[in-house]
Amino acid sequence: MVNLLDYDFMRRALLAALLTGLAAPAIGTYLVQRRLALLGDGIGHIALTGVALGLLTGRAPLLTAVIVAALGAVIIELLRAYGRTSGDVALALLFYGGIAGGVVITGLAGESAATLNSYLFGAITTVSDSDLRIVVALAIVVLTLGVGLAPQLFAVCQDEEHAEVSGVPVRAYGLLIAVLAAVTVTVSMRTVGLLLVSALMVVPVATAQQVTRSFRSTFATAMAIGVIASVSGVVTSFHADTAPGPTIVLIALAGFAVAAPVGAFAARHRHRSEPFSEPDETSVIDAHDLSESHPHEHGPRCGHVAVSHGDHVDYVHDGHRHAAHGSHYDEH
Amino acid sequence: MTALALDAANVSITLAGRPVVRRVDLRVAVGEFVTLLGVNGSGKSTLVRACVGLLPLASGTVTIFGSAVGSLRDRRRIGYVPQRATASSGVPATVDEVIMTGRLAHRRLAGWPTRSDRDAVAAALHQVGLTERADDSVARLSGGQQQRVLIARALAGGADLLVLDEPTAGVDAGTQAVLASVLEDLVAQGVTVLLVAHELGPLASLVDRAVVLRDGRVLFDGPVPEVPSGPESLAHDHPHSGQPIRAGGLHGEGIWR
Repeated sequence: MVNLLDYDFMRRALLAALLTGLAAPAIGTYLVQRRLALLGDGIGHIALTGVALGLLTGRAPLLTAVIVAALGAVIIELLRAYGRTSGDVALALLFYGGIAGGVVITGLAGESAATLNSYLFGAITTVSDSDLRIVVALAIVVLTLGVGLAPQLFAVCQDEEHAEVSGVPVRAYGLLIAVLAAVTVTVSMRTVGLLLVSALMVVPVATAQQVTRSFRSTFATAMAIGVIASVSGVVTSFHADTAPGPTIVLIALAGFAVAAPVGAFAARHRHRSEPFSEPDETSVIDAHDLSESHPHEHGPRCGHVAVSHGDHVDYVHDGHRHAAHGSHYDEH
Repeated sequence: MTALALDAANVSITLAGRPVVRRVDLRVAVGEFVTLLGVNGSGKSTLVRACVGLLPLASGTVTIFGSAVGSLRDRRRIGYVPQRATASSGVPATVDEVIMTGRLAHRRLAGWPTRSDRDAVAAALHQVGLTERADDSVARLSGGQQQRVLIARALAGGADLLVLDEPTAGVDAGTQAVLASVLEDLVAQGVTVLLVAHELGPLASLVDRAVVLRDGRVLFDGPVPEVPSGPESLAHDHPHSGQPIRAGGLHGEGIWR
């Protein structure tokens, strides 16, 4: 068995994967909460122009990408907050401009399509020491702010208007989230690539929320899933000789495919053990629903849980409720 | 002179170049329960959104407990319950977590909630009768319970002026009765209430004064008429069809709309 840590490039790749796996779902949780799940995708497109500018000017593409992506994210947030035109159309203009600009400028820089590919789909095994230093520094900034300011960011993403009335500087926090998302995109660029970065921001969150019910546990579970997917993706790609970025994303998606039925089962189980979702309020039943043919007669000793419901008694029956009405049972 | 919780004087508001509220005066005394009524598009939501500082004024002034609405310290005294169909967002959150966001103005930049934060949240939960649901996901609550979460969030910040924007919209009659009893308790505790509503339902008995807007102007300001009825009823432009819908829904008890 080959020891992966014997290879310098694998040590760097695993550290980059670990940090990406933590940072992307952390910021992704706030984006999903704001219902901006695809923002990371758009910023990824814009970052491509930044990469190309780095290639053209001979500067580190990671640095030019983070600057251009942050600028793009700020413009998107300002359009979202103050824009008079339709928000999604304005975003689309930026996205397409970003990717078209990236491809044209990369061509002008005399770089090949292969170079472009390494940024679009990640090239984690070619991460250099200087790349790694930038990735580590940026990831620490993202994690410190994303975790440290969690109460503020959660409140702003939960209900912007309420937060504003309470005196929270919501515009500043909105810009902070946008810039953190841009930095995260750049951090993840070498790991999963600009076209797949959004997957690592969104899929772990979507997976976590199948089984969680609080924000805190969703946030932590998403980060754990992100780390497992990225690190195991890098290891798998080494042994199976597959592209690391797409391997990471497929593992994350496999996690979702496992969690979704578990979540659905748990929700159904909760419904059965708690048939009245609003015990203290009058609910209006839409129709006079007759139960299917019912050979069994409910009574005090029938074994079904009896619950008082207004002027009569319902019997909990396989997760729904039966009430005697003349010669038949109604569904309540 | 009675102390004023809210004093909006000669307020005009323009949205996208169109005047929506025109030279309106709205005063709410401390401890008073005022309702702002009007048909859709009459400017009532716009007016309260400007009163809590969410929209700029084209002219006029708004003061809350004697100071301009912009100052942070007084903003803490406003408990704003925005018009929302749900208290949930794109990520699961517990009732407790959502109500804790009401404490944000009191908390330090980073760190865990203090004892007073937790006590305020527990008290707010108790006031709206949701103590037992603290750890449940808000998305699993009924519409009316989610409205109560939004009210608790406003109360947790220590607000003594509650501004509610259509909390009864799309909520069934039973839930409206629960909301009425929650608000009745708050009024008994001295909380001032400004309620925006399309129709009052069971809240009518709590209201001290009604202000009716039409086309951005005050049409009526005074005590609520005893039993508003018929097509001449205030703020009520459409005749009722008189047809029962969903007859037999609740064991033959017709539900009229």
